[in-house]
Amino acid sequence: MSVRQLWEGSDAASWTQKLTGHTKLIILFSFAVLTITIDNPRSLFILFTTTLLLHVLAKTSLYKWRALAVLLLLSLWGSMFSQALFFAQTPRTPLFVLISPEMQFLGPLTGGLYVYREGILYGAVQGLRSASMMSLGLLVCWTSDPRQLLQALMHWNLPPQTAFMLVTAIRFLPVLAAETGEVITALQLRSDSQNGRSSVIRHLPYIAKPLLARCLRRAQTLALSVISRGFFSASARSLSGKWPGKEKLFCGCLILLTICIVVSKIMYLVSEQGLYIGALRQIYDITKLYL
Amino acid sequence: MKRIFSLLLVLLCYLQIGFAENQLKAIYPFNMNQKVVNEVKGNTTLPLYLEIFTSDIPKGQDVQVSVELPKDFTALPVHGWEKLGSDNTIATTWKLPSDFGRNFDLVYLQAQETAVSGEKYIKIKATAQDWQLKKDLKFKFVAEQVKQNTKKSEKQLQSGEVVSKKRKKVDKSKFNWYIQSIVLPVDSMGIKDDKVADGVIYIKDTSLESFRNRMMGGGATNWSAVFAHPACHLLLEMRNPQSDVRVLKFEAELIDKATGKKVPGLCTSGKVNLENNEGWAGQTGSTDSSTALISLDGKKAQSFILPIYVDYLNILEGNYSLRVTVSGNGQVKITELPVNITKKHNIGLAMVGLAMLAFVIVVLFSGKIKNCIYLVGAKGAITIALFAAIAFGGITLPTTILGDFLHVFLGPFSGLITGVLSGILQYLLIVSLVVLYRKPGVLALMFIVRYILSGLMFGHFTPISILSCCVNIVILESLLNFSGFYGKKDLTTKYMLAISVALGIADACITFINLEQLMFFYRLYYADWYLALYMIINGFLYSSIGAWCGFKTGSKLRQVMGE
Repeated sequence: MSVRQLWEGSDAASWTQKLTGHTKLIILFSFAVLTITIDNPRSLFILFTTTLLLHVLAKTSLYKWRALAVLLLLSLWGSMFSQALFFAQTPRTPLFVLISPEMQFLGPLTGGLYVYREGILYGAVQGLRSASMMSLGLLVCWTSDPRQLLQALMHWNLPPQTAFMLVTAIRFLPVLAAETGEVITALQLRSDSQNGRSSVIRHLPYIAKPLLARCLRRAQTLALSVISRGFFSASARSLSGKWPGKEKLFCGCLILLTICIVVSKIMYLVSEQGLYIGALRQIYDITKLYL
Repeated sequence: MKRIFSLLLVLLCYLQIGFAENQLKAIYPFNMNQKVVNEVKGNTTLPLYLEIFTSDIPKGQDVQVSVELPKDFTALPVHGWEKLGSDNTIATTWKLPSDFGRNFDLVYLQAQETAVSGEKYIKIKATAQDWQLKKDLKFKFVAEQVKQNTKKSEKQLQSGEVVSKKRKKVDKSKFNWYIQSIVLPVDSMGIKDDKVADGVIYIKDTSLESFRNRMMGGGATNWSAVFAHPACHLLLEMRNPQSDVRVLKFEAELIDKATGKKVPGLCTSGKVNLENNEGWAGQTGSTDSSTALISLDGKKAQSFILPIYVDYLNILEGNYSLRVTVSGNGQVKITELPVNITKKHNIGLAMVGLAMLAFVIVVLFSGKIKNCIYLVGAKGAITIALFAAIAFGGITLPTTILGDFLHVFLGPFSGLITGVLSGILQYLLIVSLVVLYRKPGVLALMFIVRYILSGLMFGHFTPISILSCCVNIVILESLLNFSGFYGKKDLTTKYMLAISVALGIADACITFINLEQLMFFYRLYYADWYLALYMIINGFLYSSIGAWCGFKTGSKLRQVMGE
């Protein structure tokens, strides 16, 4: 499995490929808003499970599942690790001490650094937010062509010049990667030590200048070609794809649901600060129990 | 005239001292409401207040204070007092200070079951080396229990029952004061607000206290005043079936639910921060608990509204047990209730507000950013796109994948390594680009292209990433604008050194805002020292180095531009 294969969406289920970029972006953004709004661990877990279910429905291939699993585990681990160290709630049970408060310099500076048992659990729950976003983000990437998403952005008034810049960036990503390889090879060959011929890290600080110089030369050539064809000033409205009515309706409902959840959460938080409206009691209850 | 008046005043003062004499004051039953009550009922425990006021004593001296109690009356054990012989007399020795002084104490007296109704006398005597004071107190005693028992005995006699000579003992556990209930939080009038959840204490965020004070012209923060403001009030309902009059000590402390141990978090109003001295009075009150003195005034039910003071610098949010201890005269009553300490995260909210403001600014200036594309032309736009592609491939891609792997071993500190890319390389690209195209909006375009690229390739279309991108654009564009970077003819080494440092400081601010946003939206915790470490190394150091390298690279690339 190559990195290119991993980022291709050709093996995804047909329904996911048929979905327009507009719908995918709205689902992605709504999910992102929901994950940062919801606090209830059970609801967060349901959101996360939903994203995995979508992967199942999209018939994500096995090697992509593996990659997804590794990335999700790493993301969750990161959240658990950081919260295990910095958990600032009670009760908290130190499992072991990394920096003792009595340790010279670092002790008084940090006030002691412990690994807290409750922090690990807390990190796992809070990590579900980033895990959900990552899972859905990868699903969108694996099931769509960047042009499809770009069309959606252009439909929402992204200037064609910016779209052109994005397309240029995407098109030249593999070229830039290849050029970086060439520069590294050149630097390795120019190295006067045996060690330098195999080391990549040693040459990294010297890559920037030749790479950027090549970029500038390429920009010059490309600009000439683009201007001569009058492409840069052309309107790209025709590029924007159609957005089916059914998808529009679905997206409308999803946006409405997201707005309702966000508003109810804000109302609940405001009620905690004293701005309580009796008529909204049921909404407060639902928010407290499920959000 | 003035002289005569002054002389009279001095004379009056001397007369005052001359006529002043040592006084013995005693009140029984004493209550803190200063009401005069001369009747004592049943087995009530009531305090005897003793006070000696002395004046014009050349040097400190000892005085023996003895109290002769009425028959069938006993004194509850009090520190420093002891019973004298077989008489119903208790005594203590007080040390009187020189010149003026006031010594006082409370002794709790209780009638025994055998005490009969009638007038009773307490004889108090204070004997010093060369003077003696005496005082007799008279009060009426009504033996309620005895009366009832006597009536019952008469009835039993009439019905021919045999009366046991031994009286039934009173169950003391049933005839004491106790804690009926605790309501938390209530307002200063003791009124429970139904809108506020039970057992939740909201703690204000004091992180910006110094900043707020200075902005409002208040100068340095008076931490004593901050600590002296109660976080909430507690309504303590006491029951006192025996109508005792007592002064009791109230203590509230936080208990860790997991270990059952006392944890820091509460304090007394006399608390000061560690940076300040404790003042001439020294540290007052006990630490890690809120304390108060309460007075049972003889009512069967009594409520107390007590302030709970919070140590804002040490308290952690979360779930605790609030242990309330009421004690006095050897009796201790303890109760616990669950509480939840919730902190208001003002900084997080303020930073999210700032980020939203940055978003609005970017939206408002989107036209100008678009116009920048025309200003730099096709060549400039393609250069920006390629730089953004390098930024994506060289920063976003490795920090997303490599960052996660580093997280496994280094945890939250992996950012200090990936920061080499996100700090040094990012600012190298930014500064070299703006050195090549010194136009407002170039930097914004690069950030926008990179953000959308990241969204298209990884699906990173999240509110946090949008806000973070806008914060970067607004702060860096503002800095370059206000520093005159875009209008300067020649970029001297000295000037660029200053710009590099300024960019480092700006990135430290951006790092802080982004971390606070992350903490706010993802409900994460990071220690203050960690934020500072990140701001200094990732924010200031790496970015300044990157900016300086960017200037050098940009200057060289200008030669390529001129080819």
